[in-house]
Amino acid sequence: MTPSMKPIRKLLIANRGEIACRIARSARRLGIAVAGIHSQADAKARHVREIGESVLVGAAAPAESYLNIAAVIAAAKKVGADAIHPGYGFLSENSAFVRAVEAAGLCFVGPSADTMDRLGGKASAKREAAKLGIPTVPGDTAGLNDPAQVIAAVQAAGLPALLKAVAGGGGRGMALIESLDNLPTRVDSAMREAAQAFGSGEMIVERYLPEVRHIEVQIAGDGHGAAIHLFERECSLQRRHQKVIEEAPAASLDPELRVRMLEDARRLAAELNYRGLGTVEFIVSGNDYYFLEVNPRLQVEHPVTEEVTGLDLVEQQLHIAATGTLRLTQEQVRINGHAFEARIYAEDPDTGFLPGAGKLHWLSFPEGQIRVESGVDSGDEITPFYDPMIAKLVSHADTRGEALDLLCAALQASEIVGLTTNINFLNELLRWPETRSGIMHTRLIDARWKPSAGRVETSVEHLAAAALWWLSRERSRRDFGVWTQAEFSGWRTLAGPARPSPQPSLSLAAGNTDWAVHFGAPDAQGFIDLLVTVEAKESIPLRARLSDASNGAKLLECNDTSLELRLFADGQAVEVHSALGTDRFEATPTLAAAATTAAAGSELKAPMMGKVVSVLAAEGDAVTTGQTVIVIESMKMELQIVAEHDGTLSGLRCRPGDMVGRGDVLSEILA
Amino acid sequence: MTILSSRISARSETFALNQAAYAEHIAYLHTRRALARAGGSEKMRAKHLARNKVLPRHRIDLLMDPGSPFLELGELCGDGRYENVPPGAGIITGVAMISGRACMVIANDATVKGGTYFGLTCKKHVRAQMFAWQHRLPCITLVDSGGAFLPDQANIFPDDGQFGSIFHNQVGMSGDGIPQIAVVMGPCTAGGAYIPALCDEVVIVRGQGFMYLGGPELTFAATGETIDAESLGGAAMHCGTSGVTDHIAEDDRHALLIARNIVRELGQIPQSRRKQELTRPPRFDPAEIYGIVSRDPKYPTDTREILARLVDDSEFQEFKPLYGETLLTGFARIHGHEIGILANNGVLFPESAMKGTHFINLCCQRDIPLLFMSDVTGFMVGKDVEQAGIAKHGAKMITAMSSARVPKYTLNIGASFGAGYLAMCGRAFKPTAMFSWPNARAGIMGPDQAAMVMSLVRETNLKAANKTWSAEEREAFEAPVRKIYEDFQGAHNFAAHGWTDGVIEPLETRGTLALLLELAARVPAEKSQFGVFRF
Repeated sequence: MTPSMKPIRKLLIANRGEIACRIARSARRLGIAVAGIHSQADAKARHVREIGESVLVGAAAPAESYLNIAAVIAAAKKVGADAIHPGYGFLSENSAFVRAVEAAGLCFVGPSADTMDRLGGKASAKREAAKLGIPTVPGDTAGLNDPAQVIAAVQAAGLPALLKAVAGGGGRGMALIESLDNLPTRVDSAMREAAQAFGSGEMIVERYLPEVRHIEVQIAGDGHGAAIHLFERECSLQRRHQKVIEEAPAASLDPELRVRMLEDARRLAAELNYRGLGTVEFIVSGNDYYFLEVNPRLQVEHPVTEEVTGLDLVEQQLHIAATGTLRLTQEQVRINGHAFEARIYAEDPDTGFLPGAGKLHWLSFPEGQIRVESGVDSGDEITPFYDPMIAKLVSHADTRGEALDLLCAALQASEIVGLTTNINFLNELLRWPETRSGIMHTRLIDARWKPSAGRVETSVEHLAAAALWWLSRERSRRDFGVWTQAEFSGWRTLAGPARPSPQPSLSLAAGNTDWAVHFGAPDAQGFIDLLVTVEAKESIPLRARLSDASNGAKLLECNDTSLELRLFADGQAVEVHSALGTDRFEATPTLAAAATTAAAGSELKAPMMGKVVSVLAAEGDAVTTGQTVIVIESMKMELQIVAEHDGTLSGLRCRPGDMVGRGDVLSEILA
Repeated sequence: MTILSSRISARSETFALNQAAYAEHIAYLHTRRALARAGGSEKMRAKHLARNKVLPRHRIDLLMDPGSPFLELGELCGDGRYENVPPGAGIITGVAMISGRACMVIANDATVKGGTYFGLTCKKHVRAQMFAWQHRLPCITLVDSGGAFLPDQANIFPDDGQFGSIFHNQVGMSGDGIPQIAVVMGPCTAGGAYIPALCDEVVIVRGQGFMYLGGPELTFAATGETIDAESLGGAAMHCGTSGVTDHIAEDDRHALLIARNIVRELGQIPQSRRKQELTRPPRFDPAEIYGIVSRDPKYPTDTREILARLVDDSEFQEFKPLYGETLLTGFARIHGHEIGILANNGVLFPESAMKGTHFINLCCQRDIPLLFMSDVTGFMVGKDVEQAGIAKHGAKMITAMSSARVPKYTLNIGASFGAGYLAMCGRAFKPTAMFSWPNARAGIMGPDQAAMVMSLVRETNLKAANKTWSAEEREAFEAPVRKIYEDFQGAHNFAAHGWTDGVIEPLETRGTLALLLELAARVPAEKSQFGVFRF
């Protein structure tokens, strides 16, 4: 029996975010005490609050905290933990960490260090699979330096074939070979380009499989040769190899193919004496499947398996770690219905999925039929140091269609204010016919999805709400009795029917669009006439009232529409969230657009009487703001005369040695 | 507390006729206001805008906190008094919120005769200053004026209350710690240059604002010196060389932004010393006032019905309801601000005057502002009342009213004649603010009474000369007198002469009073010292 074969009483969760929270929940349910770790940036993070006991392991950068093996083990010792769960990412696949944990006399919840080493590299994993007769992508996984070998490998792999520079990555250094014509030339040029770009012309050759599905099998092993599978997941909807939507079971799979894949995965785990939970990834092309790699850890998308099997995978992990046995036989694992998972990220699909960071002003997910895994609450921050995932939404229903509908509804009902998210992008994906029919491939998103090119489509209701809310905030910032009360907003004696002020008071801006808002005075019912002018061209008259609704929300009545919404201030910005979506406007009072500083003078003047020591620029020279042009000496001081703005030196009228008087114009700077 | 009741039927014919008559008053009022708000002629406005200048009312809009109220004073001042001058006398004055603080804004309208000062322009400017002084409101003057309108010299130059008083008041207010800020947005020549020069802080717009005691032409004429306006009194010169002005702005908007920033740094904003209760609307629709106000002065209006539509929740804690009942007295709230109301409901009798005196005394004791709602043809005359000592009782009321140092507001809702005008806090008693409803009239006496009195005098003279006159001759004599008094008595005439702060309509009354009461609540209380009361 290894040192870990004893009950786990206290578990250190060496991770952060939603997965740390999720692991803690299962552990607590099993009567296992938990403690966590955190970096300086996460001192007040939700996982720290939820776990309740947490140890600071270092600075914000992952390398200094969550990847700091010594600090994590010290933290486990400090809290008296007897086991460490690595979650996913960070140290979860690091065999050195596993060895260090075990050397410290602690139990590692996961596979052995040896298994990790054997499965660590894609090439070595592929060899392990091939040894067992599991199909792998045709090609040579070893790096080839000799063009002749590369040509031979292409011919062996079959067409189309892909040449991948070993030193390349991220899609760079790849060449697609679709015919054997001019093959030697193509190979030469690909290797030469790789050598120039990456310093090495070493190539891997693989069969190119254009439209493949990503299907993975969840496996569990006791570490002694017993292994089961927990059925498969499909993760074909990917954006640049990042999984976006996952489901279990696979959308539609030839039953016979499926049985073979499940069995191959189980067999691989058994043959490797796999301990704990893992995922065997395959790609499926037509009626062929190929082994890809093994992920020796819990996956982000594990909840879809949990939903359809009714199992708690963390519980399974802890059981195996504590006992070295499987809790279930293969026959006991059944699946029921269909599950989907969508990952909500703080990222902007319209700007190339640029990750966002900042405060989440408001976070609300539908309750009840949907499972939400999140590591943040309203008011928390997404920091730039870690993965910007906000939440995973998991739906489960009897049929695939129902589960899909449930997920769509949940995404639409989710309220996230403060950061741009991919929710609209996810919703769009889920509506695609390919997604609905389950005929997807891993390049579908990259091929089909187009960003909205910075267009800002804003509802007038959101403009009205933002404007009225801004106005009421302006008022409440300044309490002056009735003068700042809502019913006196814009009060004045009338010269006819009340109309919005001819002067705009507020500018709302989003993207490249500017709206100028003219406010009227409220009527007896509190309705205000607004005039919103778009880019000084189109004018939209609106009649609106904003009142308090329950739970901090507001009710907007605008023309004929009533809308419940939430509004948040973020510096100058106003964020509006409603069933119509989320908008963020930069709100500036009209006057703020006025010049803010007086234009700098064009003349360079002597600040006092003195002698010119040096002239550092010549007539006609370009000078920049702050550049010293002339130095004079006076009252035992050297005074530098600097350019107040960029321009060209003109009319220079002094030379070193000249005596100048106070206020004398020494030169001019022409803009 | 008593809730006022109403016996008015909004479906009666009288109501409908009154309402129709009032609609004409409102329409006329709106026409005059529309003219005032347009400012100068289309051509002058276009010229102003072509110079990249902002129209004066828009300057005020920009200067104010977004969505804040504007309480204008003297909007209709000068209406019809000068040729080609719209109502307003070429200047806009009013209270506005700037950076969270109530300020008096005084803005010249350069589109009206170059923003020059007429007699009534001076009067309006001075009145705004007095209002500001009384309420300790910082004065923000947007200067864009060509100086005095030379033909009106007599009404501008020599006397107290004219142009020189503007300077005197600036100095006095500054001495009392009331900030004086000027934004020079146009030329200020000679006397005009002193308005900004006497301010605490001055902003000037480059290439647009000029200050000099003599312009380039006068300078050349007087000394032969040739100089351009910018070098003689431009923004750069005054900010950089003379130090006459403090802040340089690139354009109107920039200047107004600087002015807002200056106001933000004026120190602590005065707090209210009164606790304002929650606003409750009247139980009866204020719009019904249109159908209640009698369209014919011969038939009186029931003031209680008006009160029921003016005060919060129609709640009126009446004082001495059974005594001197031609003067209603009692406590009420307007937008949560407590106020003591004296409202005529018939002519003043000795008891009414004594009751009024008593009530004013109570309000002074309790530091409660007073509202005089006048609808009175005067004090009662005749043997009975003279023997009852109406002169000394009226005098008591005038003494109390005149001595009262609580804020006093006068609102003419119908009529204000003779000594009644005075006893109900006429202009001479320096009410904090004074407004009329558009239907209101005032004068020494009504047109018919004036015509009758004049013709009686004439008849006495004729009798002494043993002459008589026919009914036609009598009518021919009376008609012009009646006409003079008719023209005189209207609310618009009073506003045009600057004898009131303006004409407001019934539906604007609660708002106006609430804004006024809020301003008054932020000024320290003053103790009233009463003169000798005759008992």
